[in-house]
Amino acid sequence: MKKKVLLMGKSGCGKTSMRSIIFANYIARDTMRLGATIDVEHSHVRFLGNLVLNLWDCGGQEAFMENYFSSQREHIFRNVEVLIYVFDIESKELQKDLRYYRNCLEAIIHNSKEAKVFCLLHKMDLLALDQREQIFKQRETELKQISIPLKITCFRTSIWDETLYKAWSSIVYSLIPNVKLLESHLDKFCQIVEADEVVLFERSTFLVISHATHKPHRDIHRFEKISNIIKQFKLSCSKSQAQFQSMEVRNSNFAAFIDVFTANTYVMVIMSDPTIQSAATLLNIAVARNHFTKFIQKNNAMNL
Amino acid sequence: EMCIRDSINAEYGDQIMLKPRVLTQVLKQTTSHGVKCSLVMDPDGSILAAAGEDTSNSKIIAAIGSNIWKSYELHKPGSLNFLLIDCLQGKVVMGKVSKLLVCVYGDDKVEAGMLKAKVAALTEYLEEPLKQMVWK
Repeated sequence: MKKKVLLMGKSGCGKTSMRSIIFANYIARDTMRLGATIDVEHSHVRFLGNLVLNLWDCGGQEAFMENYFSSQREHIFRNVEVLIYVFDIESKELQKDLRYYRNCLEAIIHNSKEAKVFCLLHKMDLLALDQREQIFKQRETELKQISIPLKITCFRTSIWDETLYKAWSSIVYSLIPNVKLLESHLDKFCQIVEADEVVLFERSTFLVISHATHKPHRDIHRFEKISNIIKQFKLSCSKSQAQFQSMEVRNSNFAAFIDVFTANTYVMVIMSDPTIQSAATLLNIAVARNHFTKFIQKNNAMNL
Repeated sequence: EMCIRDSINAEYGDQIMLKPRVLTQVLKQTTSHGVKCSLVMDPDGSILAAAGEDTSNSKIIAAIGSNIWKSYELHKPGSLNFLLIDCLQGKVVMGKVSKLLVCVYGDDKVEAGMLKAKVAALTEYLEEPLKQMVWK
């Protein structure tokens, strides 16, 4: 199953860096050596097994942008499932940026009107801490207004923190078929095992696909933080020639079990009851693994 | 002797999962008459559930106990039903249920027969629900 995802935005706004970090195992520092993207870079990113994200990283230099809206218009904007438009929050040419954005939207409305649109306000780390919320809200309102009749979702992102993961997790979540069914199974698992929370990650990117929560947690950003942390840890393991597979983290308040789940997913189970032994939880994770694997084989459409 | 309302098992699709808290409740019922701790563990000595007023040594006892059991098993597989270990400061009795091991230990004031009776009661009670589970 191929799903076309367009990644667009002006030159230098950070599209290739983002893509490299999420899909190609770059760490934020590695992206400093990326040069300008020439024309359109196609990557077929295998995600969730059979789901192929057909990522079109469209070079943002002016000459290419002009091309996209004229001769290449249909080729680029047809059959699009998701449009991700990236804005550099520090851009000095706001009006020009919005003009290009409007052009994209028009092309989308004409060629793929069912497409989901996500706007990423990127490089938020370059703004002063106390200004971020205000500027983001301002831009979001403006973009939503311009985008009518399309309904868009805005995220503020930076490659230097977990906000990048939050945005991409949401984007990818919208692409998963039968996600509600998946969630109900995860919820039952969480209940039987008496876990606080169960989280399902995509195996190579560690983006959160789904979760079941039975004990609310005060940090609403914990998922993306965990994606970020585990991904970095996994990368540092492979740099030391060690393949990360699973781990158990314990302190006086909780135990977290992170392990391979199905062919394309990882699971994390959080237990806060100290009387429940590790071996029991690991046993139940193994049972759930069997169940999910069978479930996926039956429902090929799930691609997990 | 055993009275638990809830089931140790839970259905999950066509698989069976273990409910650890319920198993702990079952074990709790045996921790009277001088019993320090009751455990259920896998053949490698990893504790699946434990109950009792003094569980501080449970990991050590589980590790050593399962090791001793394994040695006897190697000698004549399947023949071992109960194991009584008489120690300086107490007694340990072990039994098997499905692919797991049950262990009950107490101080030196407890009689071996009492411990064995408790192990027997546990293995009888747990046999059916644990049999339904698939062990690797």
